[in-house]
Amino acid sequence: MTSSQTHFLTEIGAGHYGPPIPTPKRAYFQQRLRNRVFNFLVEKFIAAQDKGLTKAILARRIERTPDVINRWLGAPSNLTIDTISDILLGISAEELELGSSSPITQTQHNYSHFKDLQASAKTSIQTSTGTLSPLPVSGGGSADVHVLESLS
Amino acid sequence: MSIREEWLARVKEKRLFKLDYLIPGPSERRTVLMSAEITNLVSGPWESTLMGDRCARLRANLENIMSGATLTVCWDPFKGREHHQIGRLHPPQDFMFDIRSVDKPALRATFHFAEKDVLIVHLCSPRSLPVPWLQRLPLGDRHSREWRDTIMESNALWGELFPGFRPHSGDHINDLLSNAFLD
Repeated sequence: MTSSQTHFLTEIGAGHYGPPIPTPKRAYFQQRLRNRVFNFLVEKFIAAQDKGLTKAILARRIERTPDVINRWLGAPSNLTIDTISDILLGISAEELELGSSSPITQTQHNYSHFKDLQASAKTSIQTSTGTLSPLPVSGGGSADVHVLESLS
Repeated sequence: MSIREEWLARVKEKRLFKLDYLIPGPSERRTVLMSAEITNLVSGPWESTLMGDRCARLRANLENIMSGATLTVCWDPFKGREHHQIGRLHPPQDFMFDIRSVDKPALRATFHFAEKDVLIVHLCSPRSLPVPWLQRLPLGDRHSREWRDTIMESNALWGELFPGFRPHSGDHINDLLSNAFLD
């Protein structure tokens, strides 16, 4: 963990009798959770689309309008606990299971798109001087593009 | 020099700043490079004010982009709706986009792609409500002077950073961004 990461977690790791956790730090974690839950639901929906699910079908299943489904599956800020439950039931007949972990003990994952591109640039320079073969440039994440069906 | 060598050089020169996770996070599947203006906004420490709240959320949203998360994208200018996280701006041939941070007061951060999954984030403006700490007027209506000025300024910033290079472009969002969700 870097020193700035350690500094950011000061109040959070201070225990029950520590100072108040500042509003912006709470906002940061709120937004992370929103984004995480949203990404989870969108990925579920994309997987179910391959099996024929559409927003219109989902809307009918949970007795909402397609516009409402569009809004819920459109932005992290549009979700509530109840809508998360409805969406997950409608998409995959599942319910959310909970778990939590401390950000203080989390470890950094290894893959870095930036470092990958940086390394490929260095290799390319070396190649131009005749010392190495070029490495393929990794695009990082999946190249898939998912297109939502029209609701109109 | 290739565009990759160019943007790596701008990072080394500290004219662009690479976004990192505030706390250890998932793998970085995209690269987000920020102007000094954006870096100052999202770096903290923030005061416990509305500004602090919004900047922290913007930071979390940028980190979400960096993580490679699925993003809902509006490809056609002027067709953006509340649920789009990223939208292409007019004129489309400029290949300028904005990150739509929708909590109130809503913010828009303009960016270009230097290459696929490498975002160069230039400016941040309030969408509709005045935000004193941004020192920019709300963008307002899509034909407003503020929008026009923001787009011109962002294009100028690109030109200063990468003279002789056009922003990365493509026929489809797939050419610019992985894991995109068109709607």
